[in-house]
Amino acid sequence: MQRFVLGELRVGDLLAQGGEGAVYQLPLQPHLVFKAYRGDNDRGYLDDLVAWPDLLAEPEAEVLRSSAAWPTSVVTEEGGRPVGLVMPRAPRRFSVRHRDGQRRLATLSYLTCDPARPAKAYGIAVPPAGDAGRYGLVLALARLLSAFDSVETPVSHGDLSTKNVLWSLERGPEVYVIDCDSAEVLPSRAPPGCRVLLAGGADAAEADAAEAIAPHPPRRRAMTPNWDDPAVQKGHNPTMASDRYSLGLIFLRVVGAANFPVQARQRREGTLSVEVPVPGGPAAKQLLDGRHPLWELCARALSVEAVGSRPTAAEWVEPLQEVSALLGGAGTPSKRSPAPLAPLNASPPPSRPTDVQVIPRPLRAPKPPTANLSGASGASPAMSQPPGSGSNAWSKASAALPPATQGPFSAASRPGGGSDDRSLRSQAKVLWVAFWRWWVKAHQDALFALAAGRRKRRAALRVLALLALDIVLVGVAAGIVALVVSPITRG
Amino acid sequence: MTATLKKMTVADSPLSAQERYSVFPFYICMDVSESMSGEPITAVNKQLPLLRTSIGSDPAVAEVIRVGIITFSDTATSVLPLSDLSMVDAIPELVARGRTSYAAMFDHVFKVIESDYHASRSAGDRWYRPAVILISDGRPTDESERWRSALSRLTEPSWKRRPNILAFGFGDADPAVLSAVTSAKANRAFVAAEGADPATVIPELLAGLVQSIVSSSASVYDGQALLEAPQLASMRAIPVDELD
Ligand SMILES: Nc1ncnc2c1ncn2[C@@H]1O[C@H](COP(=O)(O)OP(=O)(O)O)[C@@H](O)[C@H]1O
Repeated sequence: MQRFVLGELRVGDLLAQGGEGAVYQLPLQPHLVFKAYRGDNDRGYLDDLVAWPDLLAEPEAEVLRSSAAWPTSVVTEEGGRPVGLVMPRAPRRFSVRHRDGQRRLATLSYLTCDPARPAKAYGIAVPPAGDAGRYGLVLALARLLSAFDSVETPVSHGDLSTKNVLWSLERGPEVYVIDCDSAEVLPSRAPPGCRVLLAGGADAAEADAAEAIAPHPPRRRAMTPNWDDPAVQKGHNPTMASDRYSLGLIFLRVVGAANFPVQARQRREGTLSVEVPVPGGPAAKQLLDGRHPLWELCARALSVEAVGSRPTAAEWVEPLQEVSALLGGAGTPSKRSPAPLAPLNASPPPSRPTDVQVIPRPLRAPKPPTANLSGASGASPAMSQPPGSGSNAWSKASAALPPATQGPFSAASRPGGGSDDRSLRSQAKVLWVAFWRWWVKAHQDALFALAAGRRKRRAALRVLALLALDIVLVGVAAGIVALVVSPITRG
Repeated sequence: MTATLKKMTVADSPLSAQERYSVFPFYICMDVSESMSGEPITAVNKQLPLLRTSIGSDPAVAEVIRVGIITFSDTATSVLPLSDLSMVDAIPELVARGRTSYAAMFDHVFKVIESDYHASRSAGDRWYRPAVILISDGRPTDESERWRSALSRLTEPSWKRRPNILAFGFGDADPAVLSAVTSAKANRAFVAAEGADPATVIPELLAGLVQSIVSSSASVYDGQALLEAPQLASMRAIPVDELD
């Protein structure tokens, strides 16, 4: 096992400060970094962490090397007390260059928003929602996580957040996961009596497997806000199932190109219904079918009610491969997908969870602005087709909204040249489309919550409130019709 | 920039506002009266670009934070309208001149919050309660009655969008005035030690504030916006006065 004594290491410039320690360059080994911990917690677990990859079979070991900054050595004081780690540095292609010329790590945040945002803010082009590259990135992450889960003593990363999952499309879709020292080597899931030697030498078989073996004092591992697992209570550590939640969340946000603040909703309401945009193209027909395996995997992964049936990373690999291949992405079916160990007492394939619904929605690329302005004077597509079914109408209409930001940009980005009359009409259209979308979604959600059967009273109240609203709306509509019709019939 | 890029705004997102986080708006109200000229205003101009490099350049922070800069002396002006800092090319340079009208500033902040709020709503952004960060090196030069009535409109409890206020004073700033400005429960005031050099106080203060704003973005993602006042070596908190 590799150990360094701090004094023998030539430590270079500070790269970044983390929550737990500081990360430094190593001038003699530019492909490595040194993470020095603050405080003097017991870090005996680090040796197990460094030795863990030895357990992997070669294909999985290769996946780990190419897509994770897995620590390679423990750095100690003279006396042998661990004070830090050496780990590979994220390769340069996992960074982006901002307009100002500076390179920054390519965090997930560049992908989990409208692609127009990084383009305008930083001059960075990212693929549109639902693009093959985006499915490819999730596939790359699924491959890494199934390598994590491919041995008797699996690891859970525990904090797959925007800052810790880097991406690159330079050589095809790749991810690079950092902060792997927050990972935990889980106790063996082998049945009792089966001898498993932990790399550190701890003999797992001595302990009853039912009783989780903690070879080292438990340490606090916190998840990043916005990237946390709502099934884990505040103050508790993430579990293996949390990584599975993270994979579902990252799929939703990366493919959907939005932040999807789902956790607050899940904590508040217990149920969740989200829509994922699906652009037109070769895979559209399959993906728009709500029963496509990916939507079901995502729903199961995000479930809080059925944490035990969240899909393993390996389950994602094939459907993701298929979709990226269909979309013409370099589906990279090359490497065989790591064969996961079948879970003990393998249960029949789990059904859809009752607390989460993931619904595909058609998305068409926003029209260029010129088409948009001329379109506004002709027959409005938003009015002539059921708006709920055409998100095309939605994106067109919302483009007419005043800009959200009012920086120096607003003057340039305000739709220019439109007459007041036209802008009034488009405003009305926006309001109408927004209202219609809200109405449809509110009903869907309310009925879903009622059907899901949790917080029955609350759900029933919601349905009643919507019903009351509908009655009022019908009344108003009838009134308007009467107003229009009565002069005609009288005249 | 191409025409297409110009036209696209964040509001063009085809997804409903439900899939975005609410934003946390900050108004930095900077005293630029004559007494700030020279070293103090130079220090301010040197620090303010931190807003772009620390907040604007991190997509995860910029997405949920909006910042506007208001300067005040005889009058008040929005030198940086409420913005997503990742979309801002440069922070404007501030110039010091004139007297110190708190009334003009409170009136302006009131109006700006109202209009920004409505503009953001119609663009689909939801808001947390805005925070006003008041930085002043002097006493109000307008009549006490005038600025107090402007203040009471800004802090009127029945006004839904009334901001939380953090006030920071140095130089000739009057602790009693700052304390009155921040008398509502959630507000806080800080003042630098007497005789402290503004040229050292300002960098520490602005760097601390930017750090506080960055940290507050994490709380937005956690579902409730929190703003921690920065820990500043050169400033002490003023106890909030009791109402008479
Ligand atoms: N392997 C690495 N390659 C490049 N940069 C890294 C690497 N590991 C960490 N960093 C940088 O250091 C920062 C903090 O590291 P991290 O491991 O997340 O620390 P902590 O867990 O203490 O917050 C990261 O956000 C990143 O900028």
